[in-house]
Amino acid sequence: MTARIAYKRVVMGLHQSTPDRTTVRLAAEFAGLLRLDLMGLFIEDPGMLAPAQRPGAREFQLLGRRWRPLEPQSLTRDIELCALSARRMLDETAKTLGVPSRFEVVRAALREAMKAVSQASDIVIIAEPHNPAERAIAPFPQLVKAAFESAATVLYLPRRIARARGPVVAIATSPDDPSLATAETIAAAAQESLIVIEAFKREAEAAPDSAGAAGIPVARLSVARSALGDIRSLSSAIDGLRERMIVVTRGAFGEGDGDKPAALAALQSVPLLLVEPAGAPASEPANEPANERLGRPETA
Amino acid sequence: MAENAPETGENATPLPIERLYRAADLSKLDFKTTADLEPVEGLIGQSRALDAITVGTGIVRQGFNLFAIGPAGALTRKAVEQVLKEAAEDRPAPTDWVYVNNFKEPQKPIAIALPAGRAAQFRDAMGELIEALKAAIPAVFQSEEYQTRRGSIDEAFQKQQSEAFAELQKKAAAQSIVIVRTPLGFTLMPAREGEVIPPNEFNALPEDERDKIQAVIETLEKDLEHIIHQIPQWEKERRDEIRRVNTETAQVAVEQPIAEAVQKVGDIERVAAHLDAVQADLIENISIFVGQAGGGEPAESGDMIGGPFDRYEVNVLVSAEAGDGRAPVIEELHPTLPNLTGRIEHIARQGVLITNFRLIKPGALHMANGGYLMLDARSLLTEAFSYQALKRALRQKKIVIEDVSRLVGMSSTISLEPDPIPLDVKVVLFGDRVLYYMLSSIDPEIGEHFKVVADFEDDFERSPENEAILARFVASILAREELKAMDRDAVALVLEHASRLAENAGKLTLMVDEIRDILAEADYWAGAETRETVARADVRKALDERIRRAARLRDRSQEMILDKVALIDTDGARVGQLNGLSVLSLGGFAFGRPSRITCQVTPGSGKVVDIEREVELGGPIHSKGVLILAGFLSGRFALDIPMSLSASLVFEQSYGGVEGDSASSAELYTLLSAIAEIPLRQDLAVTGSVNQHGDVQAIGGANDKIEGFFDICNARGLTGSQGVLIPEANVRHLMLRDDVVEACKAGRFAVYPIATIDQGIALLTGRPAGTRGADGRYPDGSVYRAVEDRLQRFAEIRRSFGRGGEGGSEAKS
Repeated sequence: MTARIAYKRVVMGLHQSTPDRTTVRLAAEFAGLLRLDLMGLFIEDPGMLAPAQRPGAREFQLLGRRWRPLEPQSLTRDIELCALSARRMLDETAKTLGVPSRFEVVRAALREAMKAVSQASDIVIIAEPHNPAERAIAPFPQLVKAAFESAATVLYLPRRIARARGPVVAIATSPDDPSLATAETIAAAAQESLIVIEAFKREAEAAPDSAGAAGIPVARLSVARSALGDIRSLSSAIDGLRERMIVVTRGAFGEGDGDKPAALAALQSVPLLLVEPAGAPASEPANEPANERLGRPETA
Repeated sequence: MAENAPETGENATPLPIERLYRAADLSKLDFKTTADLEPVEGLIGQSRALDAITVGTGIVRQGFNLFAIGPAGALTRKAVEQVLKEAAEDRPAPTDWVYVNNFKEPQKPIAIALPAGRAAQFRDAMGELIEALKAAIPAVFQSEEYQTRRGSIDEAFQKQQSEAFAELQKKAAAQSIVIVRTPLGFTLMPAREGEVIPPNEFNALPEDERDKIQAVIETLEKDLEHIIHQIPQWEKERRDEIRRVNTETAQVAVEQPIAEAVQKVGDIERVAAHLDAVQADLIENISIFVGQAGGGEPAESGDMIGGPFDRYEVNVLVSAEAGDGRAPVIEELHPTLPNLTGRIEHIARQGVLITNFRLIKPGALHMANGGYLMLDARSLLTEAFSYQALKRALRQKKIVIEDVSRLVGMSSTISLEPDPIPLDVKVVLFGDRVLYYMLSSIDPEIGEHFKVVADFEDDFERSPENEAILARFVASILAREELKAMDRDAVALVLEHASRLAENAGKLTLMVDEIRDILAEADYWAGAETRETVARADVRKALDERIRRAARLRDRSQEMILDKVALIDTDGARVGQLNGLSVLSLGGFAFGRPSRITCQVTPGSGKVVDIEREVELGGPIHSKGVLILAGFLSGRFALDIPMSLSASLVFEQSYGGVEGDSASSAELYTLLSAIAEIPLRQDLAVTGSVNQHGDVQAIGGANDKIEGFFDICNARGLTGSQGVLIPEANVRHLMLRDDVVEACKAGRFAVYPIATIDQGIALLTGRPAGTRGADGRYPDGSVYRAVEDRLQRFAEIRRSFGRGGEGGSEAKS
């Protein structure tokens, strides 16, 4: 038997740059597919206001490509507008798709906020920015790091998504790898087939019974466990599967995974779902509002 | 002539029975019922018109279109259509026409001609092409090869940017500076071990240290600015590269399906050219198949107008697929401009009216192109713009789709200007003669465009041979309309009625639709009597019922006369009063009605006053007839003295106006009676026009007029002295009702043929009209003597008035 995580929410991690509408739609569709609630989590890191408090600070605006003095008031207003815009976009998209949604603004450092809010029953969505600069500089790297360190499952959306249809690929390092059950759930909901990449030596007669239980076609491929350490080799191994999503358990790529999940998602141009391994630390109570736990007032 | 007229009315004897009604002569045909007769196809008695149609259809020159004039009727048109269809068999099947998108100028759709029947093949080939591409293009664009190429371009771009930022970040980190994303852009901050130095700590630093940091930040800001300014150029290079890869990929995806389409329809030069344009456009607009990113989902299409794949479809305007491969013969019953020249439809999409080449709809000219188009002239002329548009099309020899709303300047919607389509059509206009002659007089172009006139006869000669032909034609109608066969007597009555319809005992009508209607009604009545074969009684019943249904006004009119509301005497005699006869024609039903005409005379200046004219109730022809009376009087009586008469004539109890001169003889008799103070018989009614010499001339509606007076007399009781005076020239027109004929046969009614006024006045007064003797005077006791004596007295009165004397006693008659 593989452990099956009972997911409750899809949490979209947002920060002070306005989210991409396509990304929001993908998140809402994913929540709808799994019949989960969609939650927009706008993290307002107080540290991000620090630049405006330095005398002579200025920002280079992408729109207009010019320098502008950076002032605390205008920066605060811009962040609030970002939150407002993100909220409107999320609400409208969720309403259009008929997905239950809520939106929270959390004023805390990224890592703290992510740790406090996300739970084992959450799927946190991290969308890779299109702009390389945004990917390289704060706060995106911090957001990714915080998400991967949280108790939640993480859905990493690469910049470009090649296809919206195709089988779901599960990379399993053991017969009871949690990725199997999650991948099966997603494949069944999406009415797709499931392809299991088995990076373990399986006893011939002991075919896992989780995959296929939902009545979906299941195919299996074997790769060496060591292949997971080399993302390019792994990508070549699964070349031609034309998958729509990869599901893998955290730690499958080696100690700490590093940036390999993101790299595999980018190489394959498909979303990658990073599932918490079995026996991961229990999460905090699910229904407690994040701001209460953080002891800060809710702003939106 | 009046000079040779008989001295008395003795010659005005009643017409013999055989002159009142001419029975059909079917001696040339041996049959019991029409089932025994050989049918006659096509039209009968119309050789002149049919020859014209043959000429018109045979001359392949511009302007040799046909204008068919004569009695309108569905059967006539059907027969002409049959002639046209036979002519169409000698013409080649017309080409198919389609409209396709003009990729360079979408507002000007391209018309393409294809061999007959191949439009559908072209349309289907394009449909299959698009369906194939819907599968092939996304497949190619989702292939690993494409994704890899595309991914490598993106990666290169990303890498280029990433490296630039990484370099900057590294350079910044080396100087303890970090780059931070703000909601609207980027900023640089002093850092310690990768973390931003809190503002309070930074502000606590010595000023020179803060200045150094600020200087470093300013240097790095320039680097940041430089990188960001480079991004658009990098992005452009990326897009160009992706476009190049997309084009190459699309080329691969499109080539094979296009080649298959060329295989099917590429032998047609313009189609091949269109396929080239399609290929180029497909490559240019590949995103509609694969989404904007080249890796997304294809756009939605469906059959909805405005869908992304519309541009590649084929709008089949006309195709031999729908016909029988022969030249078309089309009749357009509602020739509005759109129905004639085609139209461009619009649909509302999000509050905006949109259109494209798929919404071009054909008109009758498109449908008839290469063949024949039949149009009703009256319908054409009553539709705004249609007649002019037809003439333009015939002159230009091409069909230009014209938008009515644009013509009247009421539309600002963007519309299309489709390629005009070459026109090669024979137009046949149907209209009555009056319309044609009127049109000819006001539109000189009618002769330019309709050079051949097919003049259909209203009737044809009534001979035993033609009666036999008409009988066979009746048999044809019965067979074609699936009506019961007719027996011999019934056919005879139909032929006799055909003569009555022609208003001439010596003619047979060619208003075949009228005959067909009677046959249908007779069939109904035969069915009501459960007869297998239509008998004469059924035809009689049909004719009587037709009259009964339409005769409400006639009955009311007669009722008023019988009730003495409208005053008409049918016995006795009276000075200056006579029964004239008129015909009322309403809704296709005509009936005769007697009208009392009276006259008063006084000494005067020789003027005959037409009261109808004075009050503007008389038409010009009627007024002309009255003026002729003065001419008659002057010529006959005022030879050596000035006419010193003032007379007034009126149609009593006439409130609706009088037109025509058929009452002029009656008015003259009344005038003579008033002058001569000799009473006229009231048991007679008179019809006929007169000239200045006193000759009585033919009029129309003789049968209806006789029957109108007969009905009144019959209702009051026939006395044997009653009758009607008709012009002798009208005798040939008589086809009177059975009851009238029977009454005449029994001597209870009479029809008198009258050639001159002398004859008529003698009959009406019982006195001879009179002929001037050697002494230059009319004989004593004659009507004219009395007239002349009275006129002389009037002249003396006028003279005495001129001298200031007396003489007023003779002022009134």
